[in-house]
Amino acid sequence: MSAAPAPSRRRRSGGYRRRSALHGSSLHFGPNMTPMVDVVMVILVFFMASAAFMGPEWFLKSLVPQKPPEGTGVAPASGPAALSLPPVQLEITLALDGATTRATGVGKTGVAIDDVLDALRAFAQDTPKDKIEVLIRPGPGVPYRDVVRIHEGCERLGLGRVGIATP
Amino acid sequence: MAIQTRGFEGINVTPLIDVVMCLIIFFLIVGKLASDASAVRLPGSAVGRVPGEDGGRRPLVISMALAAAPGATPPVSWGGVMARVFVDGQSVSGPGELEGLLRERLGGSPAATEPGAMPAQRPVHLRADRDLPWDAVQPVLQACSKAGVLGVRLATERPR
Repeated sequence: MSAAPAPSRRRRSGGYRRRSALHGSSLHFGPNMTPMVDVVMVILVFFMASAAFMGPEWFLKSLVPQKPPEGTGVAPASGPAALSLPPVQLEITLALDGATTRATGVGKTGVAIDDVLDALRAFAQDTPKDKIEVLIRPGPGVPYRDVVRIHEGCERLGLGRVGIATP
Repeated sequence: MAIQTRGFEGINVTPLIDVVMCLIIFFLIVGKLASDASAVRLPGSAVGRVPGEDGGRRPLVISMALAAAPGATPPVSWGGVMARVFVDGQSVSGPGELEGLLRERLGGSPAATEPGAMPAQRPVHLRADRDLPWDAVQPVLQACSKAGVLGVRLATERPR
C-alpha cells in the first residue's frame, strides 16, 4: 500500500524530466527582453521622427516696451544712477517699398536692411554695447521675417537690449 | 499530414493587432503634436539663444500660423490679416481674448528687478510664421504689452 506511490513519485521527479527542466531553464536565463526591446525601439523611432518634424529652433530675446501709466511722464533721473550716462536709444524704422523692405535709422534713410546693419555695426564699435538700446519700428505690410532679420543683426552685434515698438 | 492540418487553426492575429495598435498610437500622438499650431514656418536666423532652465517655469507659447496653412481652426482677422493664433495650442479669437488669456496664465509678478532681466512670470515664446506681415504680429505684441509682459522670445529656425 505505502510502497505503491513511491515509484511514481520517483519517476515524476526522476532523471528524464528533471534534466529536461534544467535544459529549459538554461535556455531562458533572466527576464525575457524581447517585448521590452520592441517597446523601446518603437519609442526611439517615434522620438527620432518627431524630432525630424519639429526642426531645431532657438530664440531672439526681445523687450516689449511698456506704456507708462496715464498721467505720468518720464520720471526725472535722480540718485546715483543719474550720474551714469543714459543709454543711447536707436530707432530703426522699417517701411515697405513695393516688395522690398527699406530701413531708416542710424543716420541712413530708406536703405536696404543690410546697409542699416552695417551702419549699426560701425556705431556699435565706438559705443559700449550695454549702453545701446535698439527699438525696431516696423511699418504696415513689412514681413515678419524682415523684423527678425534686424533683430538677428542686433543679436549678432552683441546688443542685448532690443525691442519692437507696439504703437 | 493529419496532425499538420489540425495544427493550423486560422491566422494568428496577435502580432497583427500589436502592430496596428502601435500605428494607431503613433498617429494619435503625431496628430496631437502636428496640430494647427505647428503648421508654422519660423523665420531663420544664424544667431540665437537656447533658453536655460527658466527656474522650472514652463514657457507660454504663442503660435501664429498663416490662414493658408493647413489646419481645422477657422482663421481670424488680426490687424486686417487672416491668421490663426494659439496660446499653448488653444485657439484664440481676438486680441482681447489673448490679453485675458495672458493675464490669466502668466502668473508671477511682472516687476522686473533689474533692466534686461526676465521677470518672475512665465517666459513668453512667440512662434510666428515668417510670411506673416507685421500688421498681424503687432496686435499680438500689443496684447502682450498690455498684459504686462516685459520680454518676448521670438522663435527662429536654427540653420541645420
